[in-house]
Amino acid sequence: MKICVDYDLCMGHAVCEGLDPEVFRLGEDAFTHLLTDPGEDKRELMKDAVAQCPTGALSIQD
Amino acid sequence: MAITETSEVRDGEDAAPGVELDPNSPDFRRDPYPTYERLRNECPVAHSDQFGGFWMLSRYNDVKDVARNPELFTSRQGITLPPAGNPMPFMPIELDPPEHTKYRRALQAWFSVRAMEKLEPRIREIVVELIDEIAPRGEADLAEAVAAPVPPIVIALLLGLPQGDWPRFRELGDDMIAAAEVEDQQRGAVCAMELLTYLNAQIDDRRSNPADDMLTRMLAIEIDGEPIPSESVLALAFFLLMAGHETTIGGISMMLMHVAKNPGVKQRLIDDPTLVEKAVEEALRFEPPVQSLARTVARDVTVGGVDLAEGDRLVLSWASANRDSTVFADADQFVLDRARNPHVAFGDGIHRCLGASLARLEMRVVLQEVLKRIPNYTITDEAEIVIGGYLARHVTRLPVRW
Repeated sequence: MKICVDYDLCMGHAVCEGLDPEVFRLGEDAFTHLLTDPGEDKRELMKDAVAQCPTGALSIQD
Repeated sequence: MAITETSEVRDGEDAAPGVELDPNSPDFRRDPYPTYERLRNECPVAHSDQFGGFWMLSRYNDVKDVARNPELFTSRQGITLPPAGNPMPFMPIELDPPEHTKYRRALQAWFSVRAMEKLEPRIREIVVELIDEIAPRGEADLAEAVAAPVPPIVIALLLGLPQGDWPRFRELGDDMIAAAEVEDQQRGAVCAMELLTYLNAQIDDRRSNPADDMLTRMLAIEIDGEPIPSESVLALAFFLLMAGHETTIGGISMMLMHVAKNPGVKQRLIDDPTLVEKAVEEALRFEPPVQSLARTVARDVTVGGVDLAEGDRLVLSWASANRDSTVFADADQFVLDRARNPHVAFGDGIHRCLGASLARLEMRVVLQEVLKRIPNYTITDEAEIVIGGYLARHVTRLPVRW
């Protein structure tokens, strides 16, 4: 599964990292970075991450 | 909920159900949650005549939808109701895009979870020192001895204010908010001016004596290639000082109270300290210190079937949203191990709390050290607990023994 971060929108709240630190990590630059492409078993969790991102910066590409 | 823009002229507010909402009534102050529950069930877009008239949104989805739509719901007319009495806008939270985005970007890394992690050892020292001082006594007011000092000491450290100054700005900030809550503008203005004068002197000092602190870094912020005006530096410092301590005092004090009120929860936390982070999140959900924030309708709009007009004030109740049973099972219970806890204690959307990671860190370290050093603390007498504040809800008196 491909996750996309819109860096015009990301404000570094790290809500995504709180939900899954294996996939998301806030960098020293205070923007979220993807550590890996999550497996299909994480689809529900990723949907939650997309929904909970306060600034709507995340999307699932497919 | 549906938010729909309306073009026709609204035919008065009389169609909307009203609600008696008096934030200063003793009953509401003590326990606002029954009122919120009634609003969610009976009147999710409720009108109140208080504070010049406002609408209150109480359902989770409604609150989130509005918070995520800054174009229709502006922050420029102030985000507290009643107004907090700040003589200059709170920055960046009382700005709209695109200006908001520029200021927020400048601050983004300052309070990030990575930046805050580096502070943890120092914050732990501060917390341990405060608890060790009271530990031999066997009893204390935890609100006064721990919850009240930690956040102002930490924000002084971050901004670079002299460590001994915190009781002064803490008292002035407290007085300013208390005056705002009873709409005493004169007293509020006196406190605000004194705070601004104090901060201005500190900022002036950093111009000639740069230090490794946030006041110095604020002076170096550039937006669109230009240094920001000096009044913006002051506004930023003022807001970070106020938001950086008033709210976290509430977060810490109410967490310590609710953990004590739930002995089963406390025992589990002692047995398994890895649950502390979940306890912090649940405390934030259960009793958010910032119970609500306001917006202003920018263009005529229909929210949840109710027509709102440009200029109408709207209050988003995070506290009520956090008790919405359509999102949280057993919403009125302090449940330690929720699989999901998407609370909105820090707000939502572009204005979501900049200092969330700092607040969480302070709350976590306090809970860890309290449970380590005085694990047997129990409330001496529930009748002696005093809860205060509407704009920044907190426990002002929490007598415990151990």
